[in-house]
Amino acid sequence: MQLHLFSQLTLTKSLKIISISLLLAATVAAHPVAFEGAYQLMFGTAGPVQNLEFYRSYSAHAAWGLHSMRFEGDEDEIFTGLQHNWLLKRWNLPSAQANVYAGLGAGLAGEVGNGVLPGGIGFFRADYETRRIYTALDAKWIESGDVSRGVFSVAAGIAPYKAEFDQLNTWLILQIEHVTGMEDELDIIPKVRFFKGPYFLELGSTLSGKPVINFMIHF
Amino acid sequence: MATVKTTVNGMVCSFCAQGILAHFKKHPAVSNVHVDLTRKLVLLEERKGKAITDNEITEYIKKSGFEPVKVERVKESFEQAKAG
Repeated sequence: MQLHLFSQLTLTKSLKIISISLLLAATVAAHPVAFEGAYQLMFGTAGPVQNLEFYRSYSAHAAWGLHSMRFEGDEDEIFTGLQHNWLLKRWNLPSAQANVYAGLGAGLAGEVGNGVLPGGIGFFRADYETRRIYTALDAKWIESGDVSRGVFSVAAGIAPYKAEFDQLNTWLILQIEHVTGMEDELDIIPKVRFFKGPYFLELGSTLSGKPVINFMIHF
Repeated sequence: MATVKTTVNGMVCSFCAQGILAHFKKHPAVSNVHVDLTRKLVLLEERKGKAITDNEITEYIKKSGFEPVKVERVKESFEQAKAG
């Protein structure tokens, strides 16, 4: 019983620490699988959702790692767990690429400060891009005894110029996001995406003025 | 020093194509790598007396998540091939 209480307290403390770190950090422009051998770190904040992901791609089609999400509300909720991602299908076309991804994870979820219960996460993502056009569809679900959340988004963007491999890439993107159980039915998020080399940064804001910041790195 | 020119499908994003650099830079026979998104090319410069095989090139491109279409060994220098 004592051990159970101790582990519950430790878990709650750990989740609090992750929760605070996520305050700095969203629904990152997900890149669930990178190249074989890559590590990828992604974190960010978008409206009421913060996100932290760290994966190892052990092939060009699969990755596994840690995923943590925090949902701001009357009672903040958090999920932290291990996740496996699959690139289900990729179309490598002469001037375009399209991808379908899915992932499943298991961990702990709960209201911050009120203990945690076993929980699960699942996601689906489809995207299509050329050097000038970007489109993406994302859906994530988190379920546990206390937490039941869905995050759904569609995004479309254009690149004002075609950047070469070693140049700064710039994208103007409009994202529409819905998080189940939140006050705002839909968040409309205009944002600017920059990337160069292995570094990726997105800056934007919801129409209600909440900042959107996403960062990613491959190494 | 030989130059190898590989046409690759799907290379539309430099962030996503970082794996190409990461993989080829580790190969002992490769002294220089250049990715050209406009011409859909990966250019490799081989070290003197060393060679990378077509199979290795194909494998590295696939491990990076892309589709190799054609591997050519050209007479141009690496810099000439890079300049187009």
